[in-house]
Amino acid sequence: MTATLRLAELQRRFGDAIRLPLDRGTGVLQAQVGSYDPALCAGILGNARERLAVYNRQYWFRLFGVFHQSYRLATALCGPWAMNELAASFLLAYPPTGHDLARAIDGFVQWAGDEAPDQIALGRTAALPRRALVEALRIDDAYRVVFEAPAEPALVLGEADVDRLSRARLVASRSAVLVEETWPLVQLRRGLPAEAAERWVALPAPHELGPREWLVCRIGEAHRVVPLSPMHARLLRLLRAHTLPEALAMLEIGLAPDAVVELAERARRWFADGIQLGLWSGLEQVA
Amino acid sequence: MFEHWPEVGFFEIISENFLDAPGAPARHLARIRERYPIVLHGVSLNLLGHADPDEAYLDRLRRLADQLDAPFVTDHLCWTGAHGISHHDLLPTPYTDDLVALAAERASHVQRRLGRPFGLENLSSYVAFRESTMTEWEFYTRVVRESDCWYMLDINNIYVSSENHGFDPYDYIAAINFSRVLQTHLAGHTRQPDGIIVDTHDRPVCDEVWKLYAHAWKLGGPFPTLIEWDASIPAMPEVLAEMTKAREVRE
Repeated sequence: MTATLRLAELQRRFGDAIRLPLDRGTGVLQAQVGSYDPALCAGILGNARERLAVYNRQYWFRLFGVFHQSYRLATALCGPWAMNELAASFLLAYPPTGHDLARAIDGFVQWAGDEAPDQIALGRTAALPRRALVEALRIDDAYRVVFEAPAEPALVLGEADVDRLSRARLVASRSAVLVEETWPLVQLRRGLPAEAAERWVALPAPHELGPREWLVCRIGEAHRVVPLSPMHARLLRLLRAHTLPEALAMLEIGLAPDAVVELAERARRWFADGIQLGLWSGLEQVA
Repeated sequence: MFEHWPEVGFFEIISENFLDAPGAPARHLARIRERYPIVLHGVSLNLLGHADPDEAYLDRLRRLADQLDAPFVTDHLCWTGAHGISHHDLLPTPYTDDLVALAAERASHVQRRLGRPFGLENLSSYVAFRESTMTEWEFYTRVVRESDCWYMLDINNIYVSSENHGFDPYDYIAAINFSRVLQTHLAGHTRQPDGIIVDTHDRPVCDEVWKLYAHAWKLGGPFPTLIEWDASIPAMPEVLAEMTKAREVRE
């Protein structure tokens, strides 16, 4: 047998062993050393099962650490134990394939929305609704996207550009993301410690007046979150597909005349704030 | 870091964290590069995977090395993934003649592709295979010699593996040709209740490793030395104190 074929066989068996899920039955995550492939163990010197368990635990705890760090808010709401269970279910279906450990989370938010239980059990009595989990994951993701966004020069409007605004779309900066929350999760996240903590935080009561929207953006190297009124959020979403006059016209539909006047005034302020926050990186001519 | 700009000779980055680096990490790296040389240390080359090295990955690694003008690049003499799955761990193989040849051929190819010296790091390992026909240091030294590559010698890993597999770490050090050492690593480790030592990089270097380092320096110094501390990271002064200790041990 060639060296590479021998390696393929050894690495298949070894990989299967170190990806075996850890047992949760005792309340402590433990390697299931009795389940390792006997043929693999026979080829290892000394106490093969205890030694393989080191790699088995490392595989899972390293990945759990990435999930805790990437999803600080969601981990706080689930508690690390429930987050580990969710991450393990995801990783069994979608093990990491890339070079970068941090990318092991890719696809998790989508998976959680489709596959996580409707109620995530938190201990014997408490539960977290899947909707809250997914909302928290999306907020965590927004922070990551903003952190990883490349530096782009912010749009600076000259006099000629003001004229172009009627025919051009604003190009959204990658360092600004809109998020919606049913529960006050953005504020909750801001109060969490910077490092992932091994503690559970209760889901707060939902907003009385329905969902709220926030803008997560970056000023210099720091994150900033800006609360948005429903109209403001709608304008920002419309501006992704339409010119400013088109977006304003859409917002005005159904408004009383005095509300239209008021909207125009507020829109001017929002637009000026948006320029200052660097929400746009340029103008794109509409075809 | 950006407040104190410590007096160190260079920094090492985990290559994979900065391949096509996005946003803030890239900007931070650029600021550091303005003041210090940066060397690249990979954890996903998968030199001893059953599949050939990933050429697209090597392209990206070369671009990063060129962009940072890295004097050299290092990775591990191990496998990290197989059958399409990345385990994000540094996994050992048996030590056999045919794997010396395979590893040497691939390492040589990697060095050519990167256009600069390529150093191979010895592992901390927790298993040893019955199939092995030679010691770890025989395997390591033969791969480095036959590939015409270099050593990225991890002193802590020698100690960890010597405790886990019952060999004399000074025999290991004696086998190294120090004229081919690009760099050394020092780090802290953790002894589990069952006696196995795990390479955790989460605490100060222990006395036994300092002694081994002093011995290596006496045999083959000077060589660049890096303290690896990438878990439970303390404040910068505590990490720098380890660097100061390394200087003292050398004197």
